[in-house]
Amino acid sequence: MTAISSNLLAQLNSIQSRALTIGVILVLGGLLYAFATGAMSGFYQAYLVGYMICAGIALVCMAFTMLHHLIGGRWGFVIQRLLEAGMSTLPVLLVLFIPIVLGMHDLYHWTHAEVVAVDPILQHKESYLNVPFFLVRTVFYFAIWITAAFLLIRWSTSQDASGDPGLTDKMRNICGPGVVVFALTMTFASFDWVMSTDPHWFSTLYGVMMIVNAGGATLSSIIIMMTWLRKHEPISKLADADRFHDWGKLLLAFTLLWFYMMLSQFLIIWAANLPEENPWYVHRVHGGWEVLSVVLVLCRFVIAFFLLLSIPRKRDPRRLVRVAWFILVMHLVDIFWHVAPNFRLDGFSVSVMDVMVPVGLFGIWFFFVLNRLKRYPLIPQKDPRFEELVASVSKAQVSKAKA
Amino acid sequence: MSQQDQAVDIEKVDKYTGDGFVAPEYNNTTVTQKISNIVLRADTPWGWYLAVAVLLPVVGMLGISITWLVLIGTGVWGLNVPVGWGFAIINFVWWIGIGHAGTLISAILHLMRQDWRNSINRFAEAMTIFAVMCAVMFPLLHVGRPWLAYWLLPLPNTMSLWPQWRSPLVWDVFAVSTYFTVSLIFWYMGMIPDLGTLRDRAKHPVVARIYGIFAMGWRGASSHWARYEKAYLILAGLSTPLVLSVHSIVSLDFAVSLIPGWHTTVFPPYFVAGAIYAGFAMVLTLTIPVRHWFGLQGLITTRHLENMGKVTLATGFIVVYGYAMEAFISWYSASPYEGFMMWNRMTGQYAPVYWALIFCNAVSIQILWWKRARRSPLVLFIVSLIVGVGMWLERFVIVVTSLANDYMPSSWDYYAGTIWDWSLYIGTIGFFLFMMCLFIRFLPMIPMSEMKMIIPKHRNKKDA
Repeated sequence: MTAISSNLLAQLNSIQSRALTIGVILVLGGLLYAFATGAMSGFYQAYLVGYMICAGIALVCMAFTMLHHLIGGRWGFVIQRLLEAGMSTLPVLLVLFIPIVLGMHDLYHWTHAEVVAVDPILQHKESYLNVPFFLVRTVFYFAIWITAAFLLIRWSTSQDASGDPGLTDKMRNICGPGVVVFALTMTFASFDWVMSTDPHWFSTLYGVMMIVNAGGATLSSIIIMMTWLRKHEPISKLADADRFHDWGKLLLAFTLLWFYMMLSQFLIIWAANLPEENPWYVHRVHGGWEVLSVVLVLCRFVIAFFLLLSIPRKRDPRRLVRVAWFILVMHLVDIFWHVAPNFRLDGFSVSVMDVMVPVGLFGIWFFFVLNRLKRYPLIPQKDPRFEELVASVSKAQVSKAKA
Repeated sequence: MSQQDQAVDIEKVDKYTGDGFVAPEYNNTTVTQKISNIVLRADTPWGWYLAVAVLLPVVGMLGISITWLVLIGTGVWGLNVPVGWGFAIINFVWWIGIGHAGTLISAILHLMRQDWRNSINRFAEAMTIFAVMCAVMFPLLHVGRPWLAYWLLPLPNTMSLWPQWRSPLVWDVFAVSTYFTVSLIFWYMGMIPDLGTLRDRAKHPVVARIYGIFAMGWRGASSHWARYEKAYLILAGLSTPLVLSVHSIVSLDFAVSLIPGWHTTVFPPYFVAGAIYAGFAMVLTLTIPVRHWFGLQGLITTRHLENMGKVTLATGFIVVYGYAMEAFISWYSASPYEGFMMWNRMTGQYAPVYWALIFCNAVSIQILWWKRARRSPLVLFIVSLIVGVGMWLERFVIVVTSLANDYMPSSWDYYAGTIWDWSLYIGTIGFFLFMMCLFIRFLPMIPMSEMKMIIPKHRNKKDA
C-alpha cells in the first residue's frame, strides 16, 4: 500500500531532486569560489550560517513534536508528520557537521594554541573550550537528539499500523523530560557552535534567543509546506483557515518573542556598557553593520509584526505564505548577523558564498526532509486523540454548512 | 469567533481519569445557584469569620508598621550601606510576580482557547489586583516620603523636576500602573454579567440596588453579549504583552546595573517565568482550601489542580534553567567578580538561604512528575507553599547576596530584616488574604457566565 497518492508522490519526487541538484550545485559553487579566491574562512562562515538554519529547524521540529504530545490541541496533528520529517534529518545533520569540524581552525579562535597561550581569559575557558571536549559534546548532543527523534518517529509510525493507544502514553512519557533535555542541549549547542565564535563574549540569554529564532523559522517553513500540501488529500480536509490562523498566531507570537529577546539582550548590555560584553554589539553597530542591524529589526520585527496582525491575512494561506517566506529569508539574515560580524571586524562585507552556501545547504537538507515525508501517511492514522479531532472537525463543518 | 460558538456539545472528559472540568451535577441552573448562593445567602461557613477575625489584627499590624515607618523613617528597616535595597524590593518583586498568574490565566489561556481556565480566572484576577496593591506599597514607602510619590510622574512643575528616563524605576511606574489599570478593568468588566445575575437574584432591595449599580444596566441582550465579547477579546490581547512587559521591566531594575548577579541578560524571561511560577503556586495555595470550605470541588476539579500542577512544574523548570545559565556563565565569563558572586552565593554568609532556595524551587517540585501527586490536593498545597517561600528566598538571594558582598571587600556587611521589616511584610500578606476574604464573600468568585460556556449542552436539554 502506498502511503500517499501517486500524484503527490510524483510532485514530491520532482521537488526533491531539484532541491538536491540545486543544493549541491550551490554548495560546490561556493566551495569552488572559496578555492578560487582563497577565502576558505568565508566559506566556513557561510556554511555555519546554513548549518544553524537547518539544525535549528530540525531541533525545533523535535521540540514542537514534544510540546504537541504534551499539550495536545488542534494546531499539532496536521503538521505532526511534517515535524517528524524535520527531526528525522538529525543523523544527516551529524554528517553535515563534518565540514564545521574541518573548518574549526577558521571558525573558532580558541582552537589556536598560540592565541590561548597569551590570553588569560581563554586559558580560563580552556577546560571547556578545547577541541576534544567540543567534539565529545557535539556527539553527545546528537546522541540524545537522534535517540529521542528515533523513538518518537518509530512509535508514531508503528501506531499507524497497530493503533495501540499505549504508544500515545509512551510518547507523552518521554516528552516531558525530553523538553527539558532539549532546552539544555540546544542552549549548550548554541553556546558551542555560535557564541564561541567570539570566545570572549558571553550572554546568559543566548540559548533562549537561538531557540526562539529557530522557532520562527520553523513555523514559517511549516506554513510554506502546509500551503502547498493543503491541495492534497488528506491535508486538504484538515488544514482549513482555522489551522492557518493558529499557525499565523504562533508565528506572530514568535515574532514578538524574537524582538523581546533582541531588545532584552541589547538593552542590558548597552546600559551597563561593560568592556567584557559590549564588543559584540560594537561590531554590530559600526563599519556598515549598523545598517544591517537596523534592516534586520525593521524587517524581522516591525514589518513582520504589522503584517501578521491582520486576521484575514493569517486565515488566507496564499497571503500568509508570503509573510512566511519573508520571515524565512530574514532568518538567513538574522543568523548571518549572528555569525559574520564576529569575523569581519573591518566592516560590513558580504560575498556570493553567504547566499549560495546556506541556500544550497538548505536544499540538500530539504531533500532529506522530503525523503522522510513521502514514505509515510501525511497525517497520523490511528492516534486515539486524533480520531476525536477528526470527528469534531467534521462535526463543526457540518454545523457551519447548516448555518 | 465568540466563546459561545465554541461551547462544546460533547462532554470533555479526560480519557485517562474519567473526569471533566465541570462535575456532572452542574447545569446552567445549578451552577448559578451554587455560585450566587455563596454571595447572597447568610450561611457563610464559620471558617470565613475565623479567617477575617485572624486577619484583621494583621491588617492592623500593617497600619502600625506603616505609621511607624513614616514617623521615624526607613532607618527602622535593616538597611545598611552596601545593602540599600532589602525587604522592600524583595517584597515588591515577590508580590508583582504573584499577580502574574492572574493575567496569564485570564488573558493568555483565553487566547489559547484553554477554556478550562473559566472556573479559576476570576479568582486569579482578583489575586492579581490585591497582589499589585501590596507590591506598590513597598517602593512608595521606600522612597521615604510617600506623600511626594507623584514626583515619579512626568508632571510639569515650577521646580523643573523631571524623572530620569534612563532609570528602570521610572519605567516601573508606567509598567505597574498600566498593569494595574488593565487588570482592574479586565476583572471588573468580566464580572458585569455576573453582577447582573446577582442583582436579579438578590432578595434585599438595597443589595439588589448595589449590585445593580455595578452591573451598569446589564440585561443580557445579545447586543450586550456581542460588545462584551469583543471588549473581552481586546482586553485579553492588551493584557498578554503585559504579562511579559511588567516583570521584564522589574528585572531590568537589576539587570541594567553593574552589580554581579544582577547584570545578566537572561533576567527578563527568567523573571517572567519566576513570576508565573510563584503566581500559579499562590493560586493553588488559595484555591485548595477555598474549594474545600465552600464545597466547590465540582467546579474547581481535580483536573484543574492537575493542570495547575503541570504549569507549576513547567515554569519551575524555566526558573531552574535560569539558575543553570547564571551558574554556568558566571564561570564561563572568566570575570573574577561574576565567579566570586556565584561562589559566594553557594558558600558565603548566605549559603543556607541559597541552598534552601534550590531545595524549594528546584527539588520540591520534582514530585509533580507523578500523576498521583498532581492529583492530591494535600501534596499540591504543600508544594505550593514551599514554592511561595522559595520564590521569596530567590529574590532575597538576588538582592542581598549581590549587594552585601560587592566589588569592594572593605564595604562588605551583613544584612537581615528587622522586626519592622517582618511586620510590614507579614502585614501585606494579611492585607492580601483579607481582601481575598472580602472578595470571596461579596463577589462571585467563579464566573457563572463563563462556566455556562463550558457546561455540556445536553445537561441543559434535560431541564427543558
